[in-house]
Amino acid sequence: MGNCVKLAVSYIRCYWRQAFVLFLGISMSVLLLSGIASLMYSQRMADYENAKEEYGRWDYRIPISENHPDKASVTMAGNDFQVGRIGYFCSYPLADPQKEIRLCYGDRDYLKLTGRTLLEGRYPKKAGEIALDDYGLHNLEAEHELGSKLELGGKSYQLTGILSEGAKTDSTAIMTFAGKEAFQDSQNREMEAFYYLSFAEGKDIYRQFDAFVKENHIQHPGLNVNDGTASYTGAKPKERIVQIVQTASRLPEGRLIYLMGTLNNNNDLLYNMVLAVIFLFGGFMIFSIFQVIAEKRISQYGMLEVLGAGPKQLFASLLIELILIFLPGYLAGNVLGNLLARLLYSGTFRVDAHVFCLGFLAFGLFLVICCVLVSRNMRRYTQAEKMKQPSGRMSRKIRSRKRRDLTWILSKRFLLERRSSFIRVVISLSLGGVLLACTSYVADNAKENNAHAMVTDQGLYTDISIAIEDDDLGKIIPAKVAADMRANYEEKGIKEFFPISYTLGEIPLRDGKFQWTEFYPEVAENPLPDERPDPAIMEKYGGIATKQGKDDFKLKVNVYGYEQAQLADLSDYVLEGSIQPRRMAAKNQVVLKTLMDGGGYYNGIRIKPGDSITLKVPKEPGDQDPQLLKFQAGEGHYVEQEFEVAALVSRCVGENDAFIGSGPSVVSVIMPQQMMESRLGVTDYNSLHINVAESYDSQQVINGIRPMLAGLRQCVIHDYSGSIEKKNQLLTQKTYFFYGIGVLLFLISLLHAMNSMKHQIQSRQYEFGVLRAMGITERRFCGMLVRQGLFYGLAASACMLLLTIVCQVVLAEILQHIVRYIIVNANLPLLPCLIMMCVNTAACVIMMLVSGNGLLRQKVVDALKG
Amino acid sequence: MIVLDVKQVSKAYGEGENQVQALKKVDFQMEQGEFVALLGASGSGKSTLLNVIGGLDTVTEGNIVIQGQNIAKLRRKELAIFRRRNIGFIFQDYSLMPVLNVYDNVALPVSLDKGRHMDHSFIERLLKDLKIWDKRTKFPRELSGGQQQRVAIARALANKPALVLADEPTGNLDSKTTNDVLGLLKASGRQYNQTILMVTHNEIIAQSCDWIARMEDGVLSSKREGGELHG
Repeated sequence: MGNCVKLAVSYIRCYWRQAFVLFLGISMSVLLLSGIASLMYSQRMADYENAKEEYGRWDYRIPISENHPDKASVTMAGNDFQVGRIGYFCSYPLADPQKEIRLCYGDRDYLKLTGRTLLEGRYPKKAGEIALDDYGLHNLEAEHELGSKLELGGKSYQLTGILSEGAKTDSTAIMTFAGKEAFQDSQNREMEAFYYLSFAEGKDIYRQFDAFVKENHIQHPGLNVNDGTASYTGAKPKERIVQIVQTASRLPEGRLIYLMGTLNNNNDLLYNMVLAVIFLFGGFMIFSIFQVIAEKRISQYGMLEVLGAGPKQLFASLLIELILIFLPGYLAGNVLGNLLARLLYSGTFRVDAHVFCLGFLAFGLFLVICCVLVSRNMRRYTQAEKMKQPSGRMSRKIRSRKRRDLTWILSKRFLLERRSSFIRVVISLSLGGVLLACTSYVADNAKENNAHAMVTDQGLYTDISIAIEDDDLGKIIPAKVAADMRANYEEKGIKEFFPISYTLGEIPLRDGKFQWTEFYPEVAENPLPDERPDPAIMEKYGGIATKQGKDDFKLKVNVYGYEQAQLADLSDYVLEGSIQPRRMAAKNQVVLKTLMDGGGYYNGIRIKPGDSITLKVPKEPGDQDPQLLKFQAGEGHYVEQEFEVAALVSRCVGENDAFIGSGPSVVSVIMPQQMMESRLGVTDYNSLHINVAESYDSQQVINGIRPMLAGLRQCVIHDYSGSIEKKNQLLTQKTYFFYGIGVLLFLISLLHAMNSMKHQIQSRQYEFGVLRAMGITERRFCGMLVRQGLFYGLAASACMLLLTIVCQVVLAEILQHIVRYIIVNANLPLLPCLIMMCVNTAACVIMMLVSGNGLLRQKVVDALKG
Repeated sequence: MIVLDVKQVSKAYGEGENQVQALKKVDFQMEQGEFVALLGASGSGKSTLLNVIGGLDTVTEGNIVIQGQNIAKLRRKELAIFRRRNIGFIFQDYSLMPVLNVYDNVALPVSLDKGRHMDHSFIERLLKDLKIWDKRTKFPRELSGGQQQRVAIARALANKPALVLADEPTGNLDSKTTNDVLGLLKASGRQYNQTILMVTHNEIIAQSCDWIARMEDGVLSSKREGGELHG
């Protein structure tokens, strides 16, 4: 072993340039991995922080029953758990004919966990005192002034404090906060009470919760998990990979989509895939350099074997040499990678220690594999062959008879003689470009998707929304109110104004047109054991889907009336067909928002553009017939009209959640406002959407329009301007982050490839020395190098283009079906590709000339010594 | 006619205490058509002298004039062109291009001079004279040491240089092949009226040359036929 160490150290000393090239290769690979990992980790942690702000810092919410221990007697820490905070919250509804209002109490921990802070005044202490947030102030038409009075549920309250709106809740009720005293006589008032729990971070949250409830003997029916943060905290139990695979294998179709989608949700598949790709890329670079070095030394290893060194000793010497270079290289790469990432990252930077350890093991193992492969390759040659050095197959044709300048042939053969080395360098060169192209493709799509998801899935369509949040079609915003608001809208600080009308409808789907019966438990053929029809939906609507015959169904649908500008906005979500607002009104056309599953497929309803649908809606919105919304009142209660479907869309904006719900599992019919009036007789509105002019504040606009809503107490005003601004900031930050990663990947991989290429050129030092001895001029020598550079660049560009096309197709599938982006742009990012091809080619030529210049500075005699 | 005039050439490597004087005021001339052996022990400065004459290395002091041209005064580009047109090299390790076949290896120096006409009949004659015509499509690694050296000789002569510098061309060859190669060198030198300076450390080989130049510790101390050399 001692001899092997000596031999390895001697090799490093003697061939310090080769060792340095390998050191650089290892450092750059590690730099890339550690830098990107830390960037992604920091971004993930930033996302987690944002999620905590948006959804609250609690992990679980348990409804409190009489059997539960008091907060003071709860055991907060045990062997397997540590409660971070436990918040107490209780509330009961206040009687109000128009709005859902709850009187609430939350202790200090609750307020912290739900992100509610006191902005002004103090928290209520005595009975008759109350604190509200902006949402409450808007919708209770209360004065934004401490000490002001307001009446709720027939009782007078004094405003003592103003709270921030805090984390998102799943309730649209207006929460009014009172002191604890207000709840002392509330035993018979439908009071609800909850514990909000957060556990120590860094340990398995689900296990901690399990241990906590066992220790405290807490039953937890009706338990809520904070879905917004669960993917970061692990508050939900993860399915084992084996179970996921087993479930996927049982699916009749879409197995891969399910498998990848579930693995992504449970095991951060994409995050780990990115790291794996970077690791493979780095490993490939290291292997390509190592292989070239080993090829150069084959004759020497042959000589050592002749002198009696066995394969084990040669392997050990090679491995020790690699380890001696790897250790400082790994450390240097990590330090530099994290420093570079720190410089690039604008937020709170965190080093991914997990990847540091895992990377060390992975790269270490990889180097052992490299050694085994190289040793095996060396054993393939006989000792005599080793001393001669192998060479690839070449044409025996005499080229000088037809071609005056043999340097062309030399350039080509220098490149292609070691075909595997050439391919390795070309792939290395192209990979950087492919990574940048793919990153920019993902970044563009992520930007588009987030912007669209904000508008549709997160409901942040406009700065201000005024909506009827009630499942009574009779409650409307009169057309006159909308007309008043629109009149001189610029003077009110309104930039854009969109009213949306709404009604509930039903469409028949006959002869097998409705395929995805499992979407609705009320008609599912084989419903899952825990899947039952929603009793509230069944009672009020008789189910969203109703079966009429063997293959005949009727489906409740949301029916919206849009203005032309909004209809044009829907073009972004078109799956099939096209939306031309003017043509729609003229041709009696509607847009159908069809069903879409988790994988982005939408073939559940067999209706295509050009097909006709029959839509049935209540004739009188104020009709109080109990069977009206079940569509089983007499025919005289309904209007039935036929329409042509102009387009299928995946999403729509300004959805009404109060009736049969919203989102991808609910079908909607959208038509121009004028058709709602002329064909269905709907003249009033369900919601108004306002974008605020730049020089105005949303509060000013709300104050300005509130008098117009006098008497419409059922209207709820939502001010989304803050959320939209914050989301936009996050979106910009994320976009920069993606592009930053892409550019970093490209630059480092370019440096990496240039390092490999320089090494390739230097390995031809002797041949170039002979050429110089024979009298090649420097200009022609450089010409040869430029040709080689161009050849490398063009080959790398072609390879890059090919790989980018393949990767883009794969990425489009992943984005559409696994990450479930709303819109996926399938076009190749041509401009970035072209730029990278030019940069790649220029870099190759420059690298060749730089390396060649190094050779030219060397004396010919030194070059001939090799 | 004097083809090579080496005037008071010195060459030193390193600096200060570590300086090594490889050549010390070497001074000699060679006439056209002469075949001279440069004899000396290992490390005596033979190869260094050959390298500075060929312009592969620079001198510390003195001048080298070939065909009336002081090569120290040439710019790098001019030196490269001068070298390929006037000097032919034969190396001990042959220094053939492994990626070119025999014919193209020989044609390579001519092809470097784009403007010049490639005389294929001359190359063919050279290969036939050197008895490697039938090997013309082989690659260097497919040839024996003697055959490779013949290719190297053919390549050195392909441009019809005035001066051929051979650095131990028979160092790696057996005695029979050595005799063959020497015979070929002499014959081609006579045929094309070329001046040949051959480095060797073999006294017997040296004896077969027109005259011998002896090197010892960087000093040239030898005799031309009937006369003492400078140095």
